[in-house]
Amino acid sequence: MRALTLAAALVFAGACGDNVTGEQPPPKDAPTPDAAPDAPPPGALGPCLDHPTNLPQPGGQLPCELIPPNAAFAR
Amino acid sequence: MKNLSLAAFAATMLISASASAHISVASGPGFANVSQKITFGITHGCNGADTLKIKVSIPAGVTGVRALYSDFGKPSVEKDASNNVTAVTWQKADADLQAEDIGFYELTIRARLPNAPFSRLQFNVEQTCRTAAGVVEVTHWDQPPGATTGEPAPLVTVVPARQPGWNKYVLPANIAAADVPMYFGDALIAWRGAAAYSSNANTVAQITATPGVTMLGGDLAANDEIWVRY
Repeated sequence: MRALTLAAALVFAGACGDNVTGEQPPPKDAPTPDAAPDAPPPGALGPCLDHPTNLPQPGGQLPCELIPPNAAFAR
Repeated sequence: MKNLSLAAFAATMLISASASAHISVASGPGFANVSQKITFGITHGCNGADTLKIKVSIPAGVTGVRALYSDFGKPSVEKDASNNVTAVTWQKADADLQAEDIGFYELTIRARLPNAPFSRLQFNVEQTCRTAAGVVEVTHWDQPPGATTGEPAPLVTVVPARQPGWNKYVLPANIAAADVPMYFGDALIAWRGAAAYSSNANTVAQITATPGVTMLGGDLAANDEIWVRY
C-alpha cells in the first residue's frame, strides 16, 4: 500500500513538473542558480512542498492546501 | 469508520446544542481581546406571551461595552464604581408588545472580550414577558453547561484571533475531546502533529485516506501546538 502511495505521489509530482522538453537558455535577467536562496534538495520535503497545488490528490488523499507547512509525516 | 462515526456524533451534538437553545449567541464565536459585536437571539417568549424586556448581565473581563439600539428601542445600562457596564437592558414600549408570542428578536452589544482564547464566557439573561391580559412572567437564563435544573445561559465561545490561511496556536490549557468541534468546527482543518480534525465529512474521508495521517482524537493538552487553516 505504501509502495502504491509512493508510486502515485511520484506520478503526481511528475505530472506537476515542467512540460518544456527542449533545453532553453534562461531569460537574460533571470537569476543564476548560484544566486537562488538556499532551499532544501528536491524531493526532501515531499510532493506537497515541491509542487504545491490545490488539485485533488491520488486516492482521495488530502490536497496539499490542507497540509500544514510543518508537516513531519511522509507526503 | 470509527473515526467517521465520531465526527458524525460530534456534529450531531453541535446541532442538538443549537436546536435546544432558547436564548443563544447568534453571532458565532467571539475573538479574544478584540472589540466586536455580540448578538443574542431571543427565540421565543414565555408560554405564549411576548417578550417585553431583556436584561443581559456582562461578565467580568468584558470591557468597552456599548449597546446597540434595537426593535425594543433605546438600551439602558448599569455601571459599577469604575464606570464599567455591568448590565444592558432593552425594554419595549407597551404599545409595541405583541398580543401573542410570534416574534424572533436579536439584541446586540459591542464589547471587547477578555484575552482568554479556548474558553467559554457565560452571559446571564433575564427575560420578562407579559401577556395581553397583563400577566408578567420572568425567566432567568443563568445556568452553566451541564446544569440539570433551570435554564441554560447563552455562551460565547472565545477563540484566538485568526487570519485566512494557516494559524499556529499553543493551547493555554487542556481541551476535552468533546470540545474540539466547538473550537475548531469552523476551520477547514486543524492539526496536532500528524493527527487532523475537520467537521467536514469529505475532509474527514481525505484524512483517513492519507497515509501517515490519523484522525485527531482524545483530549488536547496545554502547550500542544495546533495548526489550523481557515
